[in-house]
Amino acid sequence: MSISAPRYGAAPVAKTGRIHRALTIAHREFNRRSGVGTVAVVTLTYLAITLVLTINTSFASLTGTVTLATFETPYSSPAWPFLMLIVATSVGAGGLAEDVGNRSITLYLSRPIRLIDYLAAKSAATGTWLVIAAVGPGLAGLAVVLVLGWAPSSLVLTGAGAFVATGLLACIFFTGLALALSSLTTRALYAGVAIFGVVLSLEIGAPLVSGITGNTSVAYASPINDLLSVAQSAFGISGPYATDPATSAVVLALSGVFFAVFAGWRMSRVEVVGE
Amino acid sequence: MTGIVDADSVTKRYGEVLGLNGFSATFPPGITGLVGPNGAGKSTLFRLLAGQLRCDAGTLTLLGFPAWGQGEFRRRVGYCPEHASLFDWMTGADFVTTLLRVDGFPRAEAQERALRAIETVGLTEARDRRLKAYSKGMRQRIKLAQCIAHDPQLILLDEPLNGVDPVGRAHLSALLRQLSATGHHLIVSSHVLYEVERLTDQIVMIAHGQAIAQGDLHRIRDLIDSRPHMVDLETPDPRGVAKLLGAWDHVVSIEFTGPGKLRVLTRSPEAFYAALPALVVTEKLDVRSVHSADDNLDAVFRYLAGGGR
Amino acid sequence: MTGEWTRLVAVTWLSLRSSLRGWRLAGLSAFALIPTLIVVSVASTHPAASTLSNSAEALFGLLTLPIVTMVIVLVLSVGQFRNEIDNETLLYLSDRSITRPMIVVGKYLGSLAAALVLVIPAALLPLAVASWGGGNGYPAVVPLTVAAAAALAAIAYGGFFLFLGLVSRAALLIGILYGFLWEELVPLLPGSAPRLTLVFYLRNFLSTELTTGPLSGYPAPLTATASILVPIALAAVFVVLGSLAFRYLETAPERESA
Repeated sequence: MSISAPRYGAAPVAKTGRIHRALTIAHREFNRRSGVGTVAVVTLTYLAITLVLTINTSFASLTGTVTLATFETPYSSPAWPFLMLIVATSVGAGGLAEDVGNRSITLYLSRPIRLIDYLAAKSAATGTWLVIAAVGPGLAGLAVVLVLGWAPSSLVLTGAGAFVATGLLACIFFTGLALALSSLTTRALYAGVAIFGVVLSLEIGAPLVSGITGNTSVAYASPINDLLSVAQSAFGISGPYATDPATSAVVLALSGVFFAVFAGWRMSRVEVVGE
Repeated sequence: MTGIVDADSVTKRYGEVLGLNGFSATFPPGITGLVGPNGAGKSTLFRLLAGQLRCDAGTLTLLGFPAWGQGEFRRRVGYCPEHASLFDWMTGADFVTTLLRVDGFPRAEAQERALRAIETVGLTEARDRRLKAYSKGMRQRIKLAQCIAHDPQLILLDEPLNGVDPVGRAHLSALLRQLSATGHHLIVSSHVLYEVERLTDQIVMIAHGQAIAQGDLHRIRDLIDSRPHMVDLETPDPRGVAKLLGAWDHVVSIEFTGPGKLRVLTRSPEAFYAALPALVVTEKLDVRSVHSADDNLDAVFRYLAGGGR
Repeated sequence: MTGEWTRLVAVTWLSLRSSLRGWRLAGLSAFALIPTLIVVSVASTHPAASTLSNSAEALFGLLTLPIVTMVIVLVLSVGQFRNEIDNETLLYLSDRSITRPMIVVGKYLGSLAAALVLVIPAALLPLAVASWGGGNGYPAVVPLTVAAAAALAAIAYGGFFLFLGLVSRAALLIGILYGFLWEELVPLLPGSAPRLTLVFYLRNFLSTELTTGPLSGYPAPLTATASILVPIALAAVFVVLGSLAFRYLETAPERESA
C-alpha cells in the first residue's frame, strides 16, 4: 500500500510539433521494415541494375557510342518493375495491416497525432525504401561510370535525372498501391499477395484486352507497361510500347495518389474491436 | 513422484531467457494453485503441460504420460489458456462443439456436451452469438467451457479469473470448487494470492522459473508471518515520528534510511496500519508517504528464498 | 477408426469454413473473377468467334493458372498454420487428443477443398462466357482438361504452401518468390531445368490432353499419367514432411516470454 502526496513544481515540457512526431513514426517504421528479406531484395536490385548498367556502358564506351539510351538498358526489362514489386510487397504489405491486426494503431492514434500524419509517416517509410531500391541502383551505376570516365559528366547528369524521375514515379505508384491494399486487411500475408496478384493480373490482362479489342486506352491499366514506357521516354527512346509516356506518367502518379487517398479513407473507417 | 503432474528439473529456454530453470514440483490430486509474480514461469509451465512447448531439460509428466505428445490421454486433460484468441467468427456453441468433434466425439454427443458445458459456465443465452461479440468475461467463460466439455480428469487453468467481474469471479470460483468436489483435478495459476486462497490450500509457489515452495498454504503463510513486515514512511520529522512509533509493542525496529525517511519493521502490519491514521491525527504528524516495502509476492519470495533475490 | 475419422472430418471442416468466410472469401472471389471479366470485356467488342474462344482458352495458361490459382492457393494454404500460430488458436487443436499429423492432413484437405471451390469456377467461367458470348463452342475435353489442370495446381501448390506456412515465418515472401519468380523464370531455361517447376507438369498435362488450341503448344515430353502423378506425389511428400515437422514444432507464439 502506498500513499504519496502529489508534487508539483516541474516546468511544463515543450511538446514537439507534428512533423517531429510523424518523423518518429516514419523512422520507427523504416527500421521495422529493415529485415533480412528486405535488405536481400534491395541488395539484389542494386546488384542487378548496377551490373547491367556498368557492363552495358563499358561495352558502349569501347566503341565510343555512349548515349543516354545506353543507360536505359536495366530499365528496359520487366524485371526492374518486378523487383520493385517485390520490394513494395516486402516493405509495404504490413504497413497498415499489422498495426490494425495487432491493435497497435490504438497506441498511435491515442496520442495527439492526426491520422493524416500517421499515414504520411507510413508512406514516407515505405517510400524511402522504394526510393532506395528504385533510384539508388541507377545512381550507383552512374557513379561508377563517371568515376571510370566512360561518359561525360553532362550525360551522366542527364541519366541521373532520368533515373530519378522514373524511380520516383515507380515509388509513388507502388507506395500508394501497397498502402491501399494493406489498409484492406489485418494480415500482411493477404496484402502482399494482393499486391502481386493485382499488378500481375493487370500486366497480363490489360495488354491482352488492348491487343484483341484494339483499344489502346486499356493498355494504360498495366502499371508495368506504363513504367517501361516512361523509362524509355526518359532515356530518349521511342517505342515499342503503344502507350504515350506522358499519359502513362500521369496515370501512374494519379493512381498512386488515388490509392493513398483510398488508404486514408479506409483507415478513417477502421474500428479496432478489442476483447 | 506420484502426483497428477510431476516435474523434475524442468528447464525451458527462450533464446537467452530462461522461462523455467530446473523447476521441480509434484502437483497432488485436487485443486492446486500455481502462484507466482508476472514472469515467474507459470504460463511457460502450462504451455509445456498443454504440449505447446517442449522441455529443454528434465521430465514433465501429467497423469503418468509425457507432457510433450499427443494421443488419447489428451482427452483426459482440459486446458484453459490465458491469452489465446478465439475463432471469432464462430458462435459459442459452435466453438465448443467443434472442439469436441476434434476430440473424436460424434456430432450428436458433441452438441449435447457443448450445451451442457455452456450452461455450466452461465452462457446459455449467448451461445448462439458470435464470439467476436463476447465481452472479456464471456470469452474467459467460453474458454472454460471448451476445457471442461469433454469431462477431463485434469483441468489446467491459466489465470482463469483474469478480466472477469466480481460476480463472475464468485460464480467461477464456485464452479471450480464444484469441479474439484466431483473428482476433477485442477491446477489453477494466478499471480494474486488471495484469489487462489479462496479456492485451495494446496499451492506451488514459483519464482524466476523455479519452485520455491509447495504444500499447504497456511504453513507457507506462517513462514512469511514469522518475518517482520517493512513499512517505509516519509516525514520532515523522522525522529519525532520514530519516537512515537517506537512505543508500539509490535514494532520491532526503526531505521533512518535517508533525509526525511524511516523504515519500520513490524510484526503486525494490520495493527500498524489500523493505528497509524489515529496517531497522525492525534499528534498532528506530517507524514507525507506510507509505503509497504514488502506487501507483495516478490518480498514473500525473497523471504522464502532466504533473501538472496 | 471411427474416432480418428471424426477428428479428421472435424479439422477438415473447420479449415474449410475458416478459409471461406468474410472478407477473405469476398476478396478471393473477386480475384477469381478477373479472367471472366477480361473475357467479358473482350466479348463486348464482338470479335471473331475463334478469336474470342482462343483468347479465353489462352487466358487460362497466361493468367488463370500461373496468377489467379497461385494467389488463391497461396493465401489459403500458407495461412492455415501461420495465421493460427500467430493468433494462438492452433493450441485448441494441438492440445486435443487428435494427433498432429492428422491435424496437418485435415488442414490440407480443408484448404484444398476451399481452393477448389474458387479455382475451378475461375477456370471454367471464362470458357462458358466465351461460348455464350459469341465464341465457338468447346469440345468437352477442353473444359474437363482445364478444370483438371486447375485442380491439379491446387493439389500440388497447396501441399507445398501448407508446408511452407508451417515451417517458415517468411512463408509469404518465399511463396511469392517461388510462385511468381521461380515458376515463371525456370521454365524458360534450357534442358531439364523446367522439370524443377510444378508448372512444367501442369503445362505438360494440358498439352497431352489438348492436341489443338492455344494450350497445346507447351513442351510435353511426359505422358499424361506422369504429368498428373508427379504433382500429386509432390503434394503428398510435402504433406508428409509437414506432418513430421509439426510433430516436433513448438506452437507457442515466440513473443511470449513466460
